[in-house]
Amino acid sequence: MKKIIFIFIFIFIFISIFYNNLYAYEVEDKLKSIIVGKIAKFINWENSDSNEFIITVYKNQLGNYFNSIHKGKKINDKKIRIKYINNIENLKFTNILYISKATSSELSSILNYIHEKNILTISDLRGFAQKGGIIQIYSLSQKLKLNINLKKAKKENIKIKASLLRMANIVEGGRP
Amino acid sequence: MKLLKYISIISTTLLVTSLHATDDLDDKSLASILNETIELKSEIGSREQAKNFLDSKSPVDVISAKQIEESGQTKLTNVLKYFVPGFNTIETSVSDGTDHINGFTLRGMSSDQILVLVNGKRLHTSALMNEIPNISGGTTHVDLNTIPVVAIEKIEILRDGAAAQYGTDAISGVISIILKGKSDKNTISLHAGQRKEGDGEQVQLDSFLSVPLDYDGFANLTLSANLQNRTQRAGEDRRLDPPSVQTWMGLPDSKNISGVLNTEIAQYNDSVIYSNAIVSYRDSESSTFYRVPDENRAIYPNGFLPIMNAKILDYSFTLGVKGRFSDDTQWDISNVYGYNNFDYSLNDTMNYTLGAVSPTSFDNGNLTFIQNTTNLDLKKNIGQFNLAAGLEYRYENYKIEAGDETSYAGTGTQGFSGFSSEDETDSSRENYAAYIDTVYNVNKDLSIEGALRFEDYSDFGSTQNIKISSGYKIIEKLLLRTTASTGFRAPSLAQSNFSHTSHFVTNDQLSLKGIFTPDHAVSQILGAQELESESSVHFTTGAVYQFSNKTSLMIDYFYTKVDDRILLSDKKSASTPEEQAIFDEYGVSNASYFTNAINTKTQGIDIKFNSEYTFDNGSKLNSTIWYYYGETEIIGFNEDVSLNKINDIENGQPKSNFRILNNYKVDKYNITLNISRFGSFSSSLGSGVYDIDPVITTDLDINYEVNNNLDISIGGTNIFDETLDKWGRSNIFLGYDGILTTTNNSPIGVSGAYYYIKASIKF
Repeated sequence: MKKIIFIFIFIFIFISIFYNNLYAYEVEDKLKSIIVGKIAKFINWENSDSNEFIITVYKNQLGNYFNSIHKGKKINDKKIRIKYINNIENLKFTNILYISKATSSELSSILNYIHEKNILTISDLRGFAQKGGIIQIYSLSQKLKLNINLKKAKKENIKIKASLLRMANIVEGGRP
Repeated sequence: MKLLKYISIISTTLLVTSLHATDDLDDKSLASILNETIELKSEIGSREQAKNFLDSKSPVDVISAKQIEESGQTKLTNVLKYFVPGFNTIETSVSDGTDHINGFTLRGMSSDQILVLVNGKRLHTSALMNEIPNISGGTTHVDLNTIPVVAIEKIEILRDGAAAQYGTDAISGVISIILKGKSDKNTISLHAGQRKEGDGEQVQLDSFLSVPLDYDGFANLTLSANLQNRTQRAGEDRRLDPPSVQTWMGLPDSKNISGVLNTEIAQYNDSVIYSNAIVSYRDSESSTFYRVPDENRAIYPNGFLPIMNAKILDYSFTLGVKGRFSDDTQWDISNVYGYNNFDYSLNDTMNYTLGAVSPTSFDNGNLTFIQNTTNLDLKKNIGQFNLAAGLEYRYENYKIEAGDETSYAGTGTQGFSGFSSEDETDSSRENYAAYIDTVYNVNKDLSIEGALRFEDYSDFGSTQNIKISSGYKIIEKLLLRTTASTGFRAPSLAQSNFSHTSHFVTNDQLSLKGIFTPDHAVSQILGAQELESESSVHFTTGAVYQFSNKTSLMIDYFYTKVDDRILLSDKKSASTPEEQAIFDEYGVSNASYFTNAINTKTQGIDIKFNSEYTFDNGSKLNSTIWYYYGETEIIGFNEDVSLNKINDIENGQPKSNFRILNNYKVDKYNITLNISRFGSFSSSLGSGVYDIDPVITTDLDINYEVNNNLDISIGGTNIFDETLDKWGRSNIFLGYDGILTTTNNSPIGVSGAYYYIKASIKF
């Protein structure tokens, strides 16, 4: 028993001191927050008067990752600003709307509300892309993947670069 | 003083490592980020949403589909043994029905003290009552090998009592099997192998087909067929002249086909209709002891080897609907129907009483267990609280059907007497349960959970159980966790109603021996009482330190006290005139019955270290080092128990287990190496107890990715052909020079090294 404890302590110290650059199994919520920023670089954004790039998070479920990851960063040469809302009527101008939590009827209202406002919608909600969202992040076999509703993106006048489409599955759908 | 030293070393290291924080994810491309492996999540042990298993308030482990595939294991019991020290499984010989359904234990406790869930729903047990005194003796437990491993997305193992959350059986832990859901790959694989000795050939064909449905729904079909030829490790039968090997010792001949259909049909309105069907059929043959030549015998004067043929049909059907109300309350209604039938027949044997007119093949009866469970579960998040509540109704039925009269008439079938008309039973019971479960997230570092469950059984009454657990992150990387709970295990319907008696010739007279139900007059006169539930108290405390999300150290202490554990009593003869009168009335010479016999205390420790390191050339080494120590002590007796039984409970399984699991990926190669040390244990036999030394086994799998669609593997288990100590006594039947040369409780089996090749096509 003592030997075993010694072995573990030895391993513990060895790993701690020499292997501090160990790669990590990444926290899913953190990766989703990063992916939102990365996706933005694959969109041909139309010029707007705003000097900020705004990501609005609806009913945030991803902790403080959006703030901590995007603080001080830029997209399209514009400083990123993160806004949080719990009511879609509080939505002001935004480039990306990340929907973190919503029932289907809520989602339907949100998508109606922002229709033709040139907003990129992203979410990890089940079936999001098929339900009329533009980009869905989902997990499969411990990896994150993307579904893109290209028709919806075109309807919303969101121009997605081909290089992003190659990394994603293209799906169709909208409100039945 | 030494403890202080350890603590100071660890504290210093924690301080050093907490200063190391590298985060270069933001510099990576989107493609690289999409290729990152995300954390393994689990739901078991808490009613919260799935979360990183390292953040669980209870000790939880997760085995992923990828790990299962890389292990090369084809049976679920072996997958669990491969990855989880403290999980023990046996492959018995000459042990009646047990030869065909592998018994298993967790933390040295009993096979029926483990709850098994599939997609979060209770899985029914097998109908087989293990009548043989081995580690799963006197239990009816789940037949884990009815589930093809290729259908599994992940296995979550809760190493903690959880009857207050899930109900009966969750005493030593919970094994939660999650079937593959949405998938982008279909696979067909072929596995073929054999033992070093040249026997035990095995071929397994697996296929997994997934059809995507709307809104991330799916329909997945898994089919698996396995053909296993027997192994032969028996010693010579010295009753023969010249001695020769006759009785089979090793794996049985078996054919197994199984299928899983798992579907989720999602609707636009967030509701999901889910279902799964798991069907398994096994046809398996093992031998009983060889009957030596006898020239006075009308049939088989030159000797014969009775062959037991088990046909096991097992299925479960789950249908449920889940969704969310407009106020965000999650609801889930489901029904699970489970069925297991164990059909005995014996071939190449005879009934001595019937002499020359005896058949040589017999239908020896069958056992059936049915379980139907209906659940309603609700969950809602209100601020810092996660609330859950639910109701459950369960119906169970246990049936014994007699075999042909020729199988139990007189002395009955040689090898295994058939179930008689007096053994027949058709017993049912119902139970209702209600639970509430609340998680209070005090802040981002401290979480407390309380669960309360009430159960009412139609046969033995009601029970209430409670569980409290907490998780506290002292610093971001260090989680301290503690749980305390009470639990119970309802006596299985089989334990309350099982009877298997047969006639033997004693003093030139036929007399009845065997297992009687606790309410039989013979059992009652010996002191048997109606079975009560086992009750338990659990405590775990431990810590998880995450160097990074891919490198962690877990240390957990566990304590479980079980009162009124149900055992099959020793064989008892009449010792008073009153007992003799009843024995005479029923023609009985000895009897055993199920009884709440003992109180036990089990405690121990798990220390687990996980890491993944990526080298400069891009190759990756994933290592797990896991030490387990656990010991069980009998702390109270409700009735006399033989020294053999005491030894088997306290020392009959390895108390310590050590694993070093390594997976190394370089270019197109994926190499998995598993070194396991099974600690010493002892097995009792007659009046002796025989010590078995520790044994170290090595498993290796080398996988080569030919292209995106084709993988080939070669590998082996116990590749250096380690064997267990033989019995420390000379005996014709059970002895180092006998027919069965070592214990049936071997944690590594008796068949030795196994080598295989495997090809997988993915499309």
